[in-house]
Amino acid sequence: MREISVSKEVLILGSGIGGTRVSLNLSSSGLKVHLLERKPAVSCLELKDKVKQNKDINLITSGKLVNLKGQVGNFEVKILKENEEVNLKVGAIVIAEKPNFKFIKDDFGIDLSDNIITQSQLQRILNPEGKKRRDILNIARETPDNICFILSNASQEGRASTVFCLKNSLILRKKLGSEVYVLCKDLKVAGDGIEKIYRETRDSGVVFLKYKSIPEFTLDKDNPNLIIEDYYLNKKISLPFDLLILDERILPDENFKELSSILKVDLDERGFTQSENINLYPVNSNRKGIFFIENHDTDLYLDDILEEAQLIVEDIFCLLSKGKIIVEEKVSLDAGKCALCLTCVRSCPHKAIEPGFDKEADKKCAVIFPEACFGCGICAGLCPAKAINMVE
Amino acid sequence: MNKIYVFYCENAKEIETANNNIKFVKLPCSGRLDEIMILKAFEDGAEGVIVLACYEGACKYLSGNIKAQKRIEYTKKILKGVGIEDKRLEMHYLQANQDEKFKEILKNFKKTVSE
Repeated sequence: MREISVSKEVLILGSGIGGTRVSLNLSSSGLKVHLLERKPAVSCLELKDKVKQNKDINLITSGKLVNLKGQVGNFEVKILKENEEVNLKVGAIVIAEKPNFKFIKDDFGIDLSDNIITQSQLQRILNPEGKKRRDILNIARETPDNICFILSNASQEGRASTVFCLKNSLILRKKLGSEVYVLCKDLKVAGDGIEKIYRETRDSGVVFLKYKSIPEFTLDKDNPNLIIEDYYLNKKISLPFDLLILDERILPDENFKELSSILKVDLDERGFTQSENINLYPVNSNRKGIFFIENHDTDLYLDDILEEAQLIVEDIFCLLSKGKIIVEEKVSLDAGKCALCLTCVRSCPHKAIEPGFDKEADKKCAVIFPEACFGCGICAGLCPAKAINMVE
Repeated sequence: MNKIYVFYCENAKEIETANNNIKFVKLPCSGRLDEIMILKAFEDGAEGVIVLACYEGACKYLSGNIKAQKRIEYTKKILKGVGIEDKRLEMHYLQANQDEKFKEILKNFKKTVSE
């Protein structure tokens, strides 16, 4: 048993809805928060003012994380801000970088134009704070009579695009009163309240059509058409449209790779930070004290992000609120036997072992940090000199 | 009488202690496994050794089961060198709720060992 003092400060990377929510909740529970954003301004518009007014939140804009040392409780962070170095000592880190929405032409086989737009373009138009609000009327010169949404197969893995599509089609149907069609292959409505939105959308008069393959388009200037093969009628239907809204894929940000190498956290095959492992909680990374929010593709809509934010806040509060943690050594290292071959440093899944110096033996050897250790014993199994043993 | 050693990851199987001729050894993760552990089991007079690990992609410590697999392949080579057939060492993937599967594995293993 050993007591380790921890820093009561938290670093949050990214100021989307997840990052700002976590920082607000953490600051109200008595911890100091550093909010780091790569861009010059906070990206979550709704909570922007609250973050700026809060005294416990230290906002660092247009800054970049360059280096990280140490383990949970005592991370030493180096941030580069306009050629100025900022050194911080934080207890925990939350990665709240958002993934990208990207339109891929091959999914549909057509280009974007004035009346063919993507979901995120529509979102920007419908956003009450956006200046382009009236553009939707300009696009089709007058109120569009027929609006078509297409959900592609590729984006069906996550629920986010389905929820965006349902909500936006309902808004368009109610505000503009035009005919709205949603073309999809499958509709995923599992989750809190999604089926309710679906029923509401259906009741309001939005027509859902199930297609067999991606529709064909005939793009005349006067009357653009699309032809779909309906799944139930088993024949081809021609559908005129004034406004076509296409689906996008959710792809990991290029920044993830750099971040993961600095923070030494794992990425999965697709480049997202949260792997689908049943033994891991969705917000936890492979290292203790580093958490993820908002950067996976399955649950990107608001309710789930807020739920994850609450989970992270509870975890960090338990970890740091007392200013010290009590740890138990699960493995012991015999410094005399250690030849510093770095096998354990390489193989530790939680990066809890670092090369260091032992004072008693007066030699360089590997050092195991008990605060970051999970006690799996992989290092003990692999050590060629048998210098590491599990504590009974 | 067949004496069998079962090394199991505590996340892959319910915790079990002695069972007449079968000796259970609990590991925190199958990655903890060491060649010496298996060789000592044979030295102790074991007829065979079973290693139970979590399914791929379900290891609590991310890659422990893959590391265990590599070690077992290596240990089989050592066993061949000292004249023990490599069929006496088996590795299986298991979940904590698959008790029936474990019984079947044990039954088949007893057969192969006694041949």
